Amino acid sequence: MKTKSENKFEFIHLDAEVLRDEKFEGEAIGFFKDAMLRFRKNRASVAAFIIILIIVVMSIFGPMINEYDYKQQNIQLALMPARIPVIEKLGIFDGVKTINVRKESIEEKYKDSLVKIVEEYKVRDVDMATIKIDMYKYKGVKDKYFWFGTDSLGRDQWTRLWRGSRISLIIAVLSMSVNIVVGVIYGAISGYYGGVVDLIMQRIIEVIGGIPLMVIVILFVLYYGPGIIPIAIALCLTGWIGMSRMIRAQFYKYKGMEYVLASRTLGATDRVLIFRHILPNAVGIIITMSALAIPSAIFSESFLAYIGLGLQAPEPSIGVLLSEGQQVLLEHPHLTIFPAFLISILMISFNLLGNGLRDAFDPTLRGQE
Amino acid sequence: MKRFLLLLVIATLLCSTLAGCGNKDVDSEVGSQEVADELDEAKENEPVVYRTTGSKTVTLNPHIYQTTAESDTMSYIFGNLLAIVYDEETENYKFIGDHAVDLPTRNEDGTVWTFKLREGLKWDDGTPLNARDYEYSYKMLMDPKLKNSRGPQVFDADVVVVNAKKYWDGECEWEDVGIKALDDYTLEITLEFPVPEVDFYLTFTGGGATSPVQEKVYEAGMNEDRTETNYGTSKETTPSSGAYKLEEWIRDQMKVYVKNEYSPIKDIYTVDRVESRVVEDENTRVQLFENNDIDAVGLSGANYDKYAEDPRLVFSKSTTVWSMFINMASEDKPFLRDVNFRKALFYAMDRKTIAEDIFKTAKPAPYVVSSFKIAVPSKGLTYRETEAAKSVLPQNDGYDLELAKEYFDKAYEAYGKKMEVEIQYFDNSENMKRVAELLEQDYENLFGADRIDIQLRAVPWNNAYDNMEEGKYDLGFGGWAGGVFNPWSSMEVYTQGFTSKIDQFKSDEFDELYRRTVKGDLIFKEQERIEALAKMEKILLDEVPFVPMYEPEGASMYHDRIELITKGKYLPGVGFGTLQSHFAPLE
Amino acid sequence: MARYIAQRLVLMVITLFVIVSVSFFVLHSMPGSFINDPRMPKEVKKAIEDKYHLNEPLIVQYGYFLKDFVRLDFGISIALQPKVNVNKILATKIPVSMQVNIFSLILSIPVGIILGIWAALKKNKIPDHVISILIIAFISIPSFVFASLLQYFIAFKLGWFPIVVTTEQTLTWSKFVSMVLPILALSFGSIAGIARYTRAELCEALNSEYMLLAKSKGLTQVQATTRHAMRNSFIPLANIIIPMFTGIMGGSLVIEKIFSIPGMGSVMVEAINAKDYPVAMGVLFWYSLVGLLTILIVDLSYGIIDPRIRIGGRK
Repeated sequence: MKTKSENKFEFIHLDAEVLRDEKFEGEAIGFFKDAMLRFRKNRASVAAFIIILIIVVMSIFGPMINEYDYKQQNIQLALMPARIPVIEKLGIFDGVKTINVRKESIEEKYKDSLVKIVEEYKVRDVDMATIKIDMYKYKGVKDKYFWFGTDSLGRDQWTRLWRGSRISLIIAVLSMSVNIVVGVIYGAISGYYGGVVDLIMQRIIEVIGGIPLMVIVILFVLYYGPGIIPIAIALCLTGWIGMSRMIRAQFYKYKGMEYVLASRTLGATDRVLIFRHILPNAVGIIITMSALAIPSAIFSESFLAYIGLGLQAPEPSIGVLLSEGQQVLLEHPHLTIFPAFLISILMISFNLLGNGLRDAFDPTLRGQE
Repeated sequence: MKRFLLLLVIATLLCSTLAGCGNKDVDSEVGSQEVADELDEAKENEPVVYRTTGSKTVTLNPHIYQTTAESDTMSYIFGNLLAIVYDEETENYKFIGDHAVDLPTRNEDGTVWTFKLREGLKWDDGTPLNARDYEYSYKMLMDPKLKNSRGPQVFDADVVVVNAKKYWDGECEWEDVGIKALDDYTLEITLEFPVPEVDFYLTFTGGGATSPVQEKVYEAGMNEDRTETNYGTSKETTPSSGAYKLEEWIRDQMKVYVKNEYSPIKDIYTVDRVESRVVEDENTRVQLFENNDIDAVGLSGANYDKYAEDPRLVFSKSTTVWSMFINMASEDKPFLRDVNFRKALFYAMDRKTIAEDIFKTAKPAPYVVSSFKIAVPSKGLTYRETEAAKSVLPQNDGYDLELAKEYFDKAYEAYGKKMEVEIQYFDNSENMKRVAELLEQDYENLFGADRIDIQLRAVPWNNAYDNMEEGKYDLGFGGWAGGVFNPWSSMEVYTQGFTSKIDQFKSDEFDELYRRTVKGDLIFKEQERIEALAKMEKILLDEVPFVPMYEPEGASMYHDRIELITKGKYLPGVGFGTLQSHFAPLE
Repeated sequence: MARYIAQRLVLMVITLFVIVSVSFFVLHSMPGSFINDPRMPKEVKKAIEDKYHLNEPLIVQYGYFLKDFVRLDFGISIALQPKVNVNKILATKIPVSMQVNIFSLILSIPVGIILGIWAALKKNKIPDHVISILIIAFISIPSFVFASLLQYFIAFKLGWFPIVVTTEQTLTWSKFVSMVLPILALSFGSIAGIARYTRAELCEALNSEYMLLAKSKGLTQVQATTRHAMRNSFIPLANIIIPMFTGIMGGSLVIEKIFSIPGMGSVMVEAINAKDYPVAMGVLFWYSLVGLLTILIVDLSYGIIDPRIRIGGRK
């Protein structure tokens, strides 16, 4: 538009320079880079990440650290309690076991290995005693150290535990990745499109969730034999449903929001809306759920082991070890303690890692210190 | 949030009302305690209570029961014509008449047997019980429409009643069947072929398929088509005729039995009241025992270690010899057909380790017939104690590594390449898994992992047996239970005519020996019969259709206050005689 | 809304029918027989199986099944409790499990929510860390370990509670006392589950602007949290709490075994293992029905908790 006072204005920078925004001082920071920056600041999560790394490394190299093999049996040394160098001086994990014996056999059998007599009592007029003995001395293997003890066939629990955690982790990661991909896509489509699509997709989920999983797994294992892949697939059959429900709920929450509406009015495609505008809101949930999915996959696997659908023997997994330990929990606690402890550590670490990642990826916190 | 507060309030209220009730309860308990103190002197006359645990019983219908938990219960509450009890004079078992006056009489060739029943027999509700009830019960047991699973007891067992199978199949009338109540107190049973006395007695001894059922309850529970009855599915539908009656039955939880005043043999038993609780977890059972909540407990390998030196331990025996079956007719693995290979597996089997280190309480068994089985019932002599049996027994529990290697070398030479075999084991048994793992290591170490490769596979147990029947396996564990008093008829499972055969063994000579000892000329010839059995065992040990491994023994403990009448000996038919034992009063 | 519910209910019937039908064929395709006497002669076994039509083509068996199914009758059990009607078995078993589960629910929901709120309010402080570690311990240590340890130390060693649940049929004080340990063992997992989701959701909500607004209007932190933030956190929570309410009819396999509770825990596993098809189908049907109703309630609850959400609404 021209005005009469046109000449009163003077153009500056007309030829000399182009008007520009002020330049960013630093480098451009992308979404992931920003997330990494914030993740690194969360010390607990970094520690958890390191612990997980250690466990992964141990599950690869742990079985090679001592001289034993995961399937090498020594039935004479079955069910030896744990004995760890240095720590044994503290009075724990020192290879000592409490047993009930006839008093006369203390002299005969346990003279050398006796640590102390806990209690004396009488049953049917026979003198009995509860005594503590050093199992390693009793079996004449004072030079050996089974760090985590041995199982009922005399196999080294340390080696089996790491070997088992390797297999459990493989199964868990395999099934988790499938579950997340399927669950996210399914949940997103179902939640975003809603209406008939949602109705039908949810009914399909209900049908899949309704069929007894155990029967499918039994059939699976019967036809394909027990192994890592059949078990991982079995865990995928229904594992993604929980994830898809969560994502769907998120979509319901966000798809009606004003910013989505605004973006849609501006012509954003469905794909952009789903993946660029709504899904990032669910990143927190996805990450928390995946962090939980690994230990829960290990649990599901141990339930299968508990009802007898475990891996092909003599291959161990954390689930197999736990179900073996469960029957002798009170008598030989070392068979349960170590696998349960490892699962707990894994859980805690994955959780902390999950929390850290969630905070890091939370779009509302972006750029904040 | 308010709603949750409300919930909390309700919860607290609920708890406090409960607590209120509780106080009252505690009061009354204190009251009864005082009464009990007063009556302390009268303790001598208090009923003797035996507290025990058991497994679930799925039914108490004697015509369809399956498990030992059920037959245990039935032995309490169902009478029969005969009973087997502990005899203090001979320190052994003894058959006596229960509903029958005495042992049955037989005709000369041993095919027609006659029971005389006592007069004045009654059900626990006081209604009369006589030979007609027995006839009705057997008619129902074999009823073609009900198709009761225990029907085979009278046509496919030691005793075969004339036309029983035909009636079961619906091909003849009841009048043609060899069971007749001649009058109210006489029952006549006609058999297809003669049997030794002990086999006949056993068929009609103790609570079980041949116990009487009460007609009015059985009929009342029938559906319209007369294909099902709800007899024995609840306390109301389970009339008692045995030494005890069912006082309470909460499914899958507990049962209480008290003495049945109408039972003719009730005075033989010292226990007045049995309380049985269903506890499936083994650790729980042991804790209940230690806590003095129950009087007896069974111990498995895992718990056994702790009590290995306990003086309260007693051991029960089993008729099963667990074995590793070999698919000796394998199509795709010809080396399994080679007897040298099978013998190699036999001699390399470390039975002692399996029995003592894995099962803890088992016995190594390089033989086919369990050491519990009786060969001379009149003397209580077991088959394994006879000379004939000893002659077929291999040295050193059949463990000979040199011999095993020798056989293996021959088999390997014949086959020429690496042998790959799979052992299938039951998925519900940790111990079986351990045996499989042990064998994998033992065999691979001894024969060389480059020459033999063993894979393991867990299979649900009934599928495992199906696989073996169909010959779809290489090696697999299995075992047959059988009658204690009839080791001969137990051999049926290895004959070619046996329809549920799980081995692939075929021998006409063996079948002929079986026929002669069970249905033929050797039935009443004691010595020759034993020798024939030894011969059958020898054939099996030579052919090795399976490698015998071990014979389980069950360890259990009884409370201090119980003085077992058998002094801890486990006898066929009566076990430890718990119910006849002396019980000191409960503290 | 009413139209939506009606629509969902109709669909539910169809879904149920599909589930039951597919499961029927899957179950029957398992090898093996309900007769587990390996010594029984083949022809006898076949005759008994024939009585239950088990040797006929699957489609014919399916026809027989449907005939009874339309009356919601699953027939009689063939292995678990032979000759007893399936619905009757469930009617006696479910209350036993429910008894324990109700108490566990009463305990775990308030405790879980309170712990969750507390942890969220004290985020990254000592109480949060302690609660988080407890939560993770409860989630990650298998329930059999808890149950066995509770039983061994508290009941057996200390003698505070009975080792197993008493046999009384009604809920007396002594029965309640004997149920304390299984209730605890059952609750740990759900407490941990609720607490963890409450915490996670609240942490998110606490950062939002409306909280700032609420506080600037003069609400205390607790008021703002319970009245505003909690309400926004209920959507994900509804996902786990509502199923807990409907889930009280199920039982825990391991805990029921350890404390000798004759409940539902083992019924499905046993029915499948024993090839007791009628029982398996009955359990499957009733539990699917409850499960589907649960999903419907959860979906409807979204709209009630947050009116902005229109269930069934399109994009």
